Amino acid sequence: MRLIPVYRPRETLVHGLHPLAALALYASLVAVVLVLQNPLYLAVCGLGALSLVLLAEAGEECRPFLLLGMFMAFLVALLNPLVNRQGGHVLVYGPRLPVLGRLDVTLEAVAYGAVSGFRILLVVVLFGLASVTVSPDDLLDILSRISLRSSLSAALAVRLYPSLVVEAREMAEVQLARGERLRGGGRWQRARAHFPLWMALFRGSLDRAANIAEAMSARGFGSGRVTRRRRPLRGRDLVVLPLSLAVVAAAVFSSAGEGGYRYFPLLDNPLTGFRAWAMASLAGFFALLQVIGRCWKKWPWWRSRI
Amino acid sequence: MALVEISDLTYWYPRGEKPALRELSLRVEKGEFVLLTGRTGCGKTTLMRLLNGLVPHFHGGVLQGRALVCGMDVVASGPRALSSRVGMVFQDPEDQLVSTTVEREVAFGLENAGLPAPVVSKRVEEMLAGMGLSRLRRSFLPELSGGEAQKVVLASILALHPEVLVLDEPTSQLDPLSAEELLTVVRRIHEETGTTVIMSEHRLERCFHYATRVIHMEEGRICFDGSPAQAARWWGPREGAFLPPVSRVFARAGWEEIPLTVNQARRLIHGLETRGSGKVEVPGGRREGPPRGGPLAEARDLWYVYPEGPEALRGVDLRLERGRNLVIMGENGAGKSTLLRCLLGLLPPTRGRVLLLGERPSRERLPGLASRLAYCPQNPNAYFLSPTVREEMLRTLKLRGYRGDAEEAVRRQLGRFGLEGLEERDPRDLSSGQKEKLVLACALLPPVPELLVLDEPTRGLDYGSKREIMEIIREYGDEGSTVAAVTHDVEFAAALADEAAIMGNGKSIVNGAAEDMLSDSLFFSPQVNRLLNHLFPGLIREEEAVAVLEGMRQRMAAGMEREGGEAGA
Repeated sequence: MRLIPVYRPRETLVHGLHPLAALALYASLVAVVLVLQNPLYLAVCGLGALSLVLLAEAGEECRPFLLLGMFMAFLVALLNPLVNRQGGHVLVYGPRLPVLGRLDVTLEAVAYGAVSGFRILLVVVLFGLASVTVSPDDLLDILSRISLRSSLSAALAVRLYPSLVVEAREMAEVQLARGERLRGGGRWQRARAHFPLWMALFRGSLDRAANIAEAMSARGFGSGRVTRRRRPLRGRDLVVLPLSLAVVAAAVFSSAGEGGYRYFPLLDNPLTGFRAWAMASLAGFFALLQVIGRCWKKWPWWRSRI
Repeated sequence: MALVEISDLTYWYPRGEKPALRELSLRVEKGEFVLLTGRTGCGKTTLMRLLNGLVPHFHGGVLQGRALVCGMDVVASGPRALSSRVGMVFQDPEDQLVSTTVEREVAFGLENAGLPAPVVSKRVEEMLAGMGLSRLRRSFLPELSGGEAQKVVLASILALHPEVLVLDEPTSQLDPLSAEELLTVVRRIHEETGTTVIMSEHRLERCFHYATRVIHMEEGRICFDGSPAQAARWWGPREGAFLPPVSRVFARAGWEEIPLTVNQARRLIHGLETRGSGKVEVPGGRREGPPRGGPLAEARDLWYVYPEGPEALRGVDLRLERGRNLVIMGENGAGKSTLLRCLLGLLPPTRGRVLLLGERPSRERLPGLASRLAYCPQNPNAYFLSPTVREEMLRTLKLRGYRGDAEEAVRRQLGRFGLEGLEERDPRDLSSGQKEKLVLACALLPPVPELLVLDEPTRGLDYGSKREIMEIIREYGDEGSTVAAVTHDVEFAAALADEAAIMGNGKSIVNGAAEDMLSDSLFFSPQVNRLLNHLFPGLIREEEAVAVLEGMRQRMAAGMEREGGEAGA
């Protein structure tokens, strides 16, 4: 039974990337999402992110991130029109409130809120995809050159999170059987009933931390120089790394000057600043990843080459 | 050459009232397989921690005396220097794994040792292949079974090519098959590489005969040191608490020659049969279980399918009668725990029907049944929420709505369970046996529950603790409590059960009288049954075996006297 969305090894191109290439890919996609304003480009980014999730066969693991992103996107889309007064097309004339002033809702603020929400959704999904496809151990290798302890702590957190979830469930079930009413009642009552459980969980985590520290000490952790086995960059990484940088550059250039898209005071026509080459490079980037990934999956020879 | 040389060593943990090791002297030669025995808290773990410098370097405290391991002074060197010479495997794999995948875990110690990268890669491959872990190379560690995880820990330790392998109850958290597999690997490593092994273990039937030396500890001292055969003779007059079950029954029956394995025991009995004693009746006959008193819990055509997971239960039919203790056995993943959770209402059945104490159980209804049933989980730490033993027990009474003198009830219960003096201790700091007893003490506080549900109650316990728990459960059985237990411990199951069910692949494969279910099986029969089943079908309990063997011994003695008399005449 797989309960928790954390990294799991899998035979896909996305999982098979060198962590450096994977980090570059996700960082560049997040940068592109943040830089681009034009909804047409962002729609392509959305389709691209979806295709990456499918390529990584990580739909199930990404679902919680998708739900979280959708919730956040909904909040932003809902709140933005209420607090943003800009825009020329007033859709609803709201009441005048003492501190906030008049709550008018404009078409431009609604569009900007929707696009901002969509951006947040994409960033959350990309973050989720990164967390379920990049091995924390491989990340440790890279980050350990900067801070060994912090990166080890991160890897340990990923390792122990599932145990913590199971332990919390076990404790809650035992307490129900002992007669503790963890369900029902008001929020305050439930919080009071849960408090000893959280404390016990916390104490249990401290015990486990001490045990792990002892086991690590017995295995020579902190003895001095640590061997770093270098994982070589492969063909797939050498394709993804420069292309990721190129896509960021394309996004920046396409948004500069006339290519930018404005929401206020009036919505621009998305086709006004549209640059076909920018769209083509974005779509081409995702399509190329799909082609490489599908071939990688289908032909072992291709996989061995790259 | 001695790999371990300890002379006149005494050690106190920080804030320890008495020393954990007292004037201890020990010498272990290269290639020995040393089995450490003793009750929980006798100093076994401390001694093992000393061997790789965790005592005193990690735990602190005061140490007097001298300890040399692989020629290195433990106090001067410490665990970092000793880690590549002395490998240590602890009880719970969950507390030892630090990476996310098997391959990285095996490499962890090697990388810490600063070995060149090609050497690290070579040894990782060697270990994965040698331990049969290659197919799991990229597996996510939290998703491995307990047995697989402990094998990964062992591989990561062996990858360092230690001269001394120290194992602290390495199978205490594993099911019998995984435990067997792990101990087989340890034996193979010892046989093929000559690695010195020092191990403490409660499953003595699996390793006692294999050890080259047995050391027994009590209160931080070594009180016996000799071969397994000598240990068996030494334990003979002492009820054989630290012997395998088959040896223990011979010791308790007063035999002079004590076998170490079922095979040796069969040879002894075979010899007796040929001397013409014939079959011996079980004194008192087979135990008759209590009469059936109506259903306490019942599952009919019970199915449970985990969301996006496997079919954990597939049409289970089971009935727990009042007064008839039920034991559920089966390998890991057979669906035992899921069944227990469904019976308690913690999981809603996907299909089928469950009745518990006459009600359809659910998470909402379960707290309302707290005064009629008690649940003791596999992990006692999941039970404890209070900072002291006393408060934990008072909390239980409060949850059950007890109206009498709570302090008096707690005092009486502590006395009954032999937990006096621990009132102000943190429950999590107690030994495994004490924790298990405390959980039972809480569970059996007044009003005594009609149903006591136990999930692996003997996991990680020594024979003495198991016996105490067994006696407590029997006492409460006389007061009207019925037990439903999930266990891997066949000896415990045999001693407790009136009824038994064996599960496999989500189904109750067979269920019925314990004597029939736990007989004539390779893995689900106690040693005494494997020894005597051909003479007494359905004999599963130690007391019955002791009675039979006493009878055999007396007949053998009488026969020998007769033969002596005839020869004299």
